[in-house]
Amino acid sequence: MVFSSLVFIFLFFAVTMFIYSYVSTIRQKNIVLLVSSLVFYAWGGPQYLILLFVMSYISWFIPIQIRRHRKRPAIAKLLLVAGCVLDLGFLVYFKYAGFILSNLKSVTGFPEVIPQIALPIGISFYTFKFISYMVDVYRGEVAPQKKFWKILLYGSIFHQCMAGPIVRYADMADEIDHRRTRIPEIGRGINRFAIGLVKKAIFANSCVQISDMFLAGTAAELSGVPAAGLWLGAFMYMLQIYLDFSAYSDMAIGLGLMVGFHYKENFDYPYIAGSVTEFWRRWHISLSSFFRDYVYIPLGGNRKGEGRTVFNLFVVWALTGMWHGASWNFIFWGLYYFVFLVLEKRVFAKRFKDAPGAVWHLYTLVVVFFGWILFKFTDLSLLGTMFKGMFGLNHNGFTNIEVTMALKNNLFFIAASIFGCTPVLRNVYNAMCRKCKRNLIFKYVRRAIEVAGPTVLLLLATMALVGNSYNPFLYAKF
Amino acid sequence: MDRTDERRPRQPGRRPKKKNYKYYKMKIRVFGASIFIMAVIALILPLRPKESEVEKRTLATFPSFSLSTFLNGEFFTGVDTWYSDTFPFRELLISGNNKYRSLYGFGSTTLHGTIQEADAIPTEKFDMTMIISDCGKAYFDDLENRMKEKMQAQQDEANAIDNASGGKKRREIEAVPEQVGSIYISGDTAFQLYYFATGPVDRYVNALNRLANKVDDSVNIYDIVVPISTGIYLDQKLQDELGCSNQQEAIDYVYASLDERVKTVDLFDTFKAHSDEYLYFRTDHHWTALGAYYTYCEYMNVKGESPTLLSEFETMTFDDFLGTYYASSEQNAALGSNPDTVVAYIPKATNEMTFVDSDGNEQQWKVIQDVTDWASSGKYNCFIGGDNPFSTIENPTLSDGSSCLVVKESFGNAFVPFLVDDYQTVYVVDYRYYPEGITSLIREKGIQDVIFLNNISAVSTDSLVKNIEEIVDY
Repeated sequence: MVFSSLVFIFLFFAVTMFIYSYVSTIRQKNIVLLVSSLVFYAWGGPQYLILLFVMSYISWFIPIQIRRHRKRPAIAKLLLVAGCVLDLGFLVYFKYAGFILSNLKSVTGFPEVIPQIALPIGISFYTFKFISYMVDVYRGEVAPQKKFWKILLYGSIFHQCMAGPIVRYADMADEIDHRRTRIPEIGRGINRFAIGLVKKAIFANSCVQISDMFLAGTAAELSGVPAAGLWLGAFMYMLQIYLDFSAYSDMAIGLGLMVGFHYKENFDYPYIAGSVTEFWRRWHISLSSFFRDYVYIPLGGNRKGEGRTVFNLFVVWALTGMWHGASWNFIFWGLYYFVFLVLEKRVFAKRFKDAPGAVWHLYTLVVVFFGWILFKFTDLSLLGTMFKGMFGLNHNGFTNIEVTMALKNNLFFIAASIFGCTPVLRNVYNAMCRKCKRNLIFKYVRRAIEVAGPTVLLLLATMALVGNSYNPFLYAKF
Repeated sequence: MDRTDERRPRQPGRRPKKKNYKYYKMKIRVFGASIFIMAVIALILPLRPKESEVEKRTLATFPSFSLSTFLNGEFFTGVDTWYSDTFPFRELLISGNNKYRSLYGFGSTTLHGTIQEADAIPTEKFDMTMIISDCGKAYFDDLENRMKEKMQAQQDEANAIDNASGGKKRREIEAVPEQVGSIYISGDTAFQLYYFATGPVDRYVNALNRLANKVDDSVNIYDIVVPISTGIYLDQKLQDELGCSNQQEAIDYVYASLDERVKTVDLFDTFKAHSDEYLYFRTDHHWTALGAYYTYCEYMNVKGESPTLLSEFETMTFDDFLGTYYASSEQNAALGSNPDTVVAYIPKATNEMTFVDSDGNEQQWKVIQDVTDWASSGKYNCFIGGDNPFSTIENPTLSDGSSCLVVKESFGNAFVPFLVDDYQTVYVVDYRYYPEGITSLIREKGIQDVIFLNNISAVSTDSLVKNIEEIVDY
């Protein structure tokens, strides 16, 4: 089940929230959340519930043991390693076994048959959540949870289990047992949820339609698309991937606020970043901070000399790439960023320090734009065709009627989507809110937006979702 | 060194001022209530539509439960699909969505589907004897062998059925839903893009030539290939930009390649001359009865007889027709607000007909049926009861034993009524659904004129030409 499906909004969410607000104690509310999360997870195939239970059990049991043996660091460390190996083992088996074996086969000819292993929903996300929890307990940053079902709730909570954000246990631990839902926060949660829903159902889904007009075909079809079509397609993909993924985070944060959880922001308008380094501080924050805290810093970060720093970065970015999918293009995509981040630190930051901000912004967008093309094509030969075509090397002209038509018919929409990637609208609204006291019109406009806005957005999104064929969240497949 | 300051995400949980609580509460109530109301409406099963008239398809049904589909999640996916596919007020919501989607840009033209690459239309007529290259020869030898094998296989199968049931041989009917390829919409008019395909066209020509050699010399065979609206209404430059093949060249190629025994009816110039008239629907891929009437006139011309004047017919008019283009453009708003009008001309001699439906039952029907109360997508079905395997129209005012057989796809429906006054019996075969061969039919009924009527797109469509081959060879 995805957040932007009618069955989620009008069946699952409606029923869950109804029961949730009906029961009174925090314990009952947690049970409602747990049961609904398990139903939510089971929706994609109840067989994977077993996996979720097993991994939760490991991640519940190990930290308690680590705590018990905290006086004997060697044993505690061994326990931690065992826990991580077990959890990562599941991830590697389900996500990477096919990839590893098919590469092995192309090198050695063995094994004959590559097993087809389906990827359990959300495994990449909850594995990382569990690992962060175990490490945090080992580091003594958080006390282990004694109740198994609360760890299960942490791992499976439907707000985040499918596509993040990767919330740390420390950020949730307190609120599992003690949380208050405040009226304004529920209101803000509703806003975030409705905005996320529209971002996904209307904006991201329309972007993908335009992008797919040009990029979705086979190699032969792709080589027939004129250069302008490929650029437009790639640009729409760039918009789509942000709108899609940040929409999911918006909805998760909104759902959290409605029941009193405060999840950290996962996106901070990444496309307004002034450098690639900054882009990664604004893009999928919960993932990059995971790699920073649990890979980069344990490897020594930048404290062990220049060579080691570069090596550490290399490891982090290869892993970041790999996390996004079991395919070479994702690894290349990660390493592509490794190259730019190192270049930025070593060369650009010194040599082009005085370049105007606009140049830095443009350079960042160009790097990110080509990054997404790498990201888009899991098939490397398609990727080649794409790059050749973008520079007119497929010999089919610059543009055609299809491209002009797509542009004309969607110009306002594209402009709105670009706006949607920037904080302009939010800033205008906030500025208006600040002037509410003195300006009566602003005051009533604000009230109208606040009261009716989310419901209007919900209706618009519902219209878009009825009879919509393309809907899955992009990031849910990682 | 970083160029920008570290930006921390805003910490949530700031407490707004108390006085706003009233509106926050109001917001929560409005939002909660609308979710709740819609949730309840969505659970009222009788409100859920079962089929979509516009899209001409049955909507998803609730999945049947089994342990294996439950465990692998297929059951839930099915529930998902069912829930959203049959959401109450579905068509209303979709058309609402299309309304605001028309604000996306300022263009009045759209494309549904993609521009494809058409085969080049050969400039030489298709002729087996002209194939000199070994490669080409091998290709056609191969084609012939395959055809022989196929016919043999069909024969064997038919014999087997004959032996088993003692009944009449029937070919396998695969109901292929009518496909409209890529369509181009300009303002309130939609056009189907036409792409020439050498393989099917050559096979079509071959099939007709084979038929010509199979039937008695006394039987006249006519071939009518109808251009589609794109070729008549759009200028050549735009057609080129859309990658469309030149329809006149395509039709010329077909006609030139046909055996001399097959008489052809050239429509292109006539249609071009009348291109300011309502020859084709704007929201549907068919032609109007007016387009069919000009075709009838040209046909009578070729036959050397004079056609009935249009003014002599009584008419029936059906408004609010939204056809296949409307459906396949996902209910384009401009088409939706400008529906077509169907005008039908009732034969002077009779309006009675009989047809055999796909289950083999004979039914009485009207040549022009009153479809005023029918769904807006079904108005073209006023002509001869739509697509039926086999239909017969007897003219009570004639007793000269004259008869014709129209072998057609759905374009023929609007054409057939005009023939009623000129023959004692008009037989109609829809080659997509007719379960037998037509050679025996022609012989048994003593048919004098066999008229093949196809739109140019059908002649270039593999699955349809396959059906024509089957009814010819069977």
